[in-house]
Amino acid sequence: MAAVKETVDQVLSIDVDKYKYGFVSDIESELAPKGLNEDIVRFISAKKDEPEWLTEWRLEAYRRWQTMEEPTWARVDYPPIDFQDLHYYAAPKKTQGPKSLDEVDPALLDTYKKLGIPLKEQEILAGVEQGQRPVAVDAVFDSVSVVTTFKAELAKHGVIFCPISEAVRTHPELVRKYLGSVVPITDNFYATLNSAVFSDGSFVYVPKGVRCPMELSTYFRINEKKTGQFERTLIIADEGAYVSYLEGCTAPSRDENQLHAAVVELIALDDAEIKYSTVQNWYPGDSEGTGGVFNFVTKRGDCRGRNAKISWTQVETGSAITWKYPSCILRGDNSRGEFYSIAISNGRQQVDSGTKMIHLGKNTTSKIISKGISAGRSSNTYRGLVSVGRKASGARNFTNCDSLLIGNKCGAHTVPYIESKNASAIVEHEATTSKISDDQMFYCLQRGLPQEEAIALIVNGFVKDVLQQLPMEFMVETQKLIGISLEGSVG
Amino acid sequence: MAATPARTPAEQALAARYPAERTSLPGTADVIAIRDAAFGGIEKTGLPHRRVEDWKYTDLRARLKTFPPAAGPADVARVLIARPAMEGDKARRLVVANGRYRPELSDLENLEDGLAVFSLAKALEAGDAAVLAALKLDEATAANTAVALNTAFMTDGLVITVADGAVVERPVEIVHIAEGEPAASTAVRHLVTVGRGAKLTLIETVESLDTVAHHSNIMTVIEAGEEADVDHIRLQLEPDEAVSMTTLVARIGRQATFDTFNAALGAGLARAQVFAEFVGRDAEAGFRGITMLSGRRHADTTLSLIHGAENCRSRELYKAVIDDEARSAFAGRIAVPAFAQKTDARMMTASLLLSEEAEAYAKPELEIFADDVQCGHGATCGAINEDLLFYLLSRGIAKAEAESMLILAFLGEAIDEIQDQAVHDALIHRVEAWLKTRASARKAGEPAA
Amino acid sequence: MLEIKNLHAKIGDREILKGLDLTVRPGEVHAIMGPNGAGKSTLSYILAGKDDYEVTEGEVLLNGESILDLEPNERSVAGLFLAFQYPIEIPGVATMTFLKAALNAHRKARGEAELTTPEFMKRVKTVAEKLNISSEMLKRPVNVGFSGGEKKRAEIMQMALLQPSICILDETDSGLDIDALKVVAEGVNALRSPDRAFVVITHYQRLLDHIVPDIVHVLSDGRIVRTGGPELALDLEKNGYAAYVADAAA
Repeated sequence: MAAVKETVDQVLSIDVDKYKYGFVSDIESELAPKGLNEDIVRFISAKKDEPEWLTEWRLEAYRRWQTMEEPTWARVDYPPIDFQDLHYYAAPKKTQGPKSLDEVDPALLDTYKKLGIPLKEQEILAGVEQGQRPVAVDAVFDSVSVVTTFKAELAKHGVIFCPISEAVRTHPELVRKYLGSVVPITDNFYATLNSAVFSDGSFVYVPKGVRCPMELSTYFRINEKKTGQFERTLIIADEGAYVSYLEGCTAPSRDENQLHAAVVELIALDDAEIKYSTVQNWYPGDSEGTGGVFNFVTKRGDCRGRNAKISWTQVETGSAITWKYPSCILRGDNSRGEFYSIAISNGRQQVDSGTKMIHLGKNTTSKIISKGISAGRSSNTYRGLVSVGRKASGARNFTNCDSLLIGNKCGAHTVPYIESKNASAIVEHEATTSKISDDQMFYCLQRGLPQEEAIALIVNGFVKDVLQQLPMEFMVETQKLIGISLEGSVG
Repeated sequence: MAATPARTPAEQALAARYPAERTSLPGTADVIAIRDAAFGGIEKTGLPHRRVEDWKYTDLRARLKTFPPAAGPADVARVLIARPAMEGDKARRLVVANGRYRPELSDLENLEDGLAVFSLAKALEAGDAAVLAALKLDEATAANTAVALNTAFMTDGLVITVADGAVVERPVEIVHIAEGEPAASTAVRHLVTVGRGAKLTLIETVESLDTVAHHSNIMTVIEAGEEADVDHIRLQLEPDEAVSMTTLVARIGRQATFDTFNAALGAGLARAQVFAEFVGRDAEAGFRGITMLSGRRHADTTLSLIHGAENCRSRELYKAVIDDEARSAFAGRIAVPAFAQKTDARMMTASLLLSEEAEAYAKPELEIFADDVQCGHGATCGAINEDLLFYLLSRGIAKAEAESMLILAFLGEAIDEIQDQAVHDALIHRVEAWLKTRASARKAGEPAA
Repeated sequence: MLEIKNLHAKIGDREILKGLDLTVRPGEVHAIMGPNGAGKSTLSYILAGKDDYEVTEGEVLLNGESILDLEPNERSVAGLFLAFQYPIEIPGVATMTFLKAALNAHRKARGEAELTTPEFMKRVKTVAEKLNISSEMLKRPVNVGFSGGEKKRAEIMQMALLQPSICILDETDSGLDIDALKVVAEGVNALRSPDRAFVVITHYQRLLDHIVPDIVHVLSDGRIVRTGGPELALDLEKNGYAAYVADAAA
């Protein structure tokens, strides 16, 4: 159909470099010298005033990392990364660790304001009066957390929400018990690198029986040139606890690639529930594939207790390279893992993402809903594993992976692995790949919608099941983001 | 860099065998060069292990304990007694015993117009240009370990051609028989060309007269011409001791109809591979199969289909029934290049686990670069559905019989797609016999043999 | 014929039947009515032997013999038939294959020889015709592609073929329009005989206009809370179950 052809051409011709968050903040930084060696690891550890056990832990990871090779199995193609040509530590000069908001550099507050993240509690509360729910935010700028809001309010409920660098000092017993217990320092090339040089990130502990009274959120921003961001997030939901957490990410448009290698560990004990949502909008590079963030992330949740539940929701629209498999280890009997994903690739973006559901306990259940949309000259791969162990009687998995192609210069790939060692387990997988239906498109156009809007509308319909999993506050924003990612222009 | 691991006994046996045999294997210098290249590849990488993605679930390095010597000539009398040709056999039987085509045991009377059958060994010795050309494979296929072993060691096989427009109604059946002790290996290659608008039904059976660890490696290359109609069925029936590798390479022409069905019913270690490609538009193909496993058997079905032309339609359906401590793996990949618009492909794989110790692995993969396509895949894995079983029991049907009915229904979805009625019925009988053995073992309270 | 004494049963940790008593004699038609969640379907599944339920107390006798330790198929050949509320679709199993296997299992249990195919075909045809079941329907896999009404008629056809001594009809009227309801009821009525009994489980009275019961029971919260004649059903239709739900809760 001619109309569709036109639309496709239009989408193809749009530059993705109309990235909305591409501005650079002019903030003076303290940088570690370029390169990586044991001294740099010690430097980072010293900067954070860390206890010796953690310094040793980092060094062990660093030594291990030196023996490892970069993984090559993913369907992503990028020039070799010179790990010695990066700064492994960058911090805004005027903010040495999170203090009161009055001490935060106004330029930083402006940066977050521009990104739509108000950090002043009174501003947020002003929003509450207008009917919005409050969200506690930990703002991480390059390697450090600049401010965490609503800490006092959360503390009343016994909820700990602070930068992990602070938790190391204030709650060493919790950090030492859980850090590396889900993603061990030997896990994989990028996770091991992260273990050696991680800078900051969020720490959350929700005590027994507590339902966290508000959404927690971390906002990550890479600003500095030639830096890697290696944040580390650790969330523990004790017995019967509940927490919903959201992370957002942006970076300036820069010609060179920025490296982001994060590790997120979630631990849910008996009857606990963790809901983890990500809206990843790192700079994707320009339409020719210059610049953009290389996003190599290890995210894993451990349902360590009975009836525990971990739910991952991700909206991946940014990054030049995405290599990311948020997973669940379903150890506790009756525990449940969920993975809801929207991955949109345009321009020259390459996405290789999916999940692993490891069923170990009895009557464990998992659900995977993945929606991939490829446009431009991008490549979008779903890679997933559903594994049922010998002892996981009564386990149940349902997987649905749908891919949509816009134009014929992109690729959509589906690579699921299904492994069952238990006869009483039921595993079901279904996947489809198609294009936007001519009929739907025609119907929208006939009702007067412009082509780009019609595409955004249809794509939003395609991803609806996943969108609904996002906290209400972010759903509308995300819908807009999807439109922007595909159109390249502010809608 | 990882150090080169020590050679396994099977690798050592291979390394000893090839240099000793290369010049006595049939073929001109050109053929020897092709064999050398194939064997060189294996020498370089060794046998594949689980970190080699294509062999992830079938670790040949670990599973292939030995590589027995080449099979000697078969005892013709034994073959005749064991598998006598029957008066009124529906299919035209061609016998390959111990890796050698045996015209004297084959039914070559009244060959249909346009149908020709030759020995591959003779063609290789003669340096037949067309046959040499047909040995050429694309790089990925040629490098596949089972294929490379076949290329290096092939002793014989059939060259079958069906001329343009020739309709061969009577099915052609290639009977592969391994005979004799101790265990030996065979490597056989068939080259089948079905001309424009021609029709052929090709049945292959693979069996052994002795319960020893024979290795068989059979590769069939089928060229289905424009508007050709080809139906290919393979019944793999070797005893539990055997190692069986089969490869089908198919190139499917414009508007052709192509179907292949693999019944993996035997061998302790079985690998069935299909490498197919649509080379002309508007063609249709079906890829199907069943696997029935008991004991400690391991079967692997690997399918790679390139939807390399516009407006082609394919259906893939593979079903596995796994009992005792057996393991079944399915890896299916459909690739659609950017120019192959209007592709319609549906791949489905399902596994039924009948015992606590059974294992199933599936990797149904889509790789798509064209936007105007309808592609999908599904995979399921589980035990017999309790609600269905209860319904049957509630009508008075005994448990073992009810299970058999449901297993047959499960497999039937694939088997019922076989167009040749005689083959269909014969296969149903084999499945029923398998189920009967299982049911009576269950009744006796013993694990199925 | 069927005696249920102080039957207690649970699914998981939830007790559903809490001391149910019921005696059905040959030739009788009993109706069991009750609000949603009273345990009606549970009762039918337990009688047929579905293993999701655990009987914790009490007994069930069929012709004087306890059936609780019998497998579902053993109960079937002993003469118990359950017409399912939601008949199960079995893709790949031909209806005729299924019917033949079932009928032969019953004959074998009675020490009779298997039927020849023509004899079997004749029997199926006879019962199918009475229930407006076309030969086209018989060619399909079990219950696959049948409408709601067709599935219920097929259940009654199976009943007619297997000639059970006690028939449990679980919400057989659900999803049926009035014409389909009549056909089903006629099928059931044709099977009424002095040596066969029926237990008709239903939420609504309307089925009982067509299959007239001898005795009506009200099941609420896992127990029979009232027993009466056909007039009880009419009363329930008029006044609803509210009184019984309150009783049970008290």
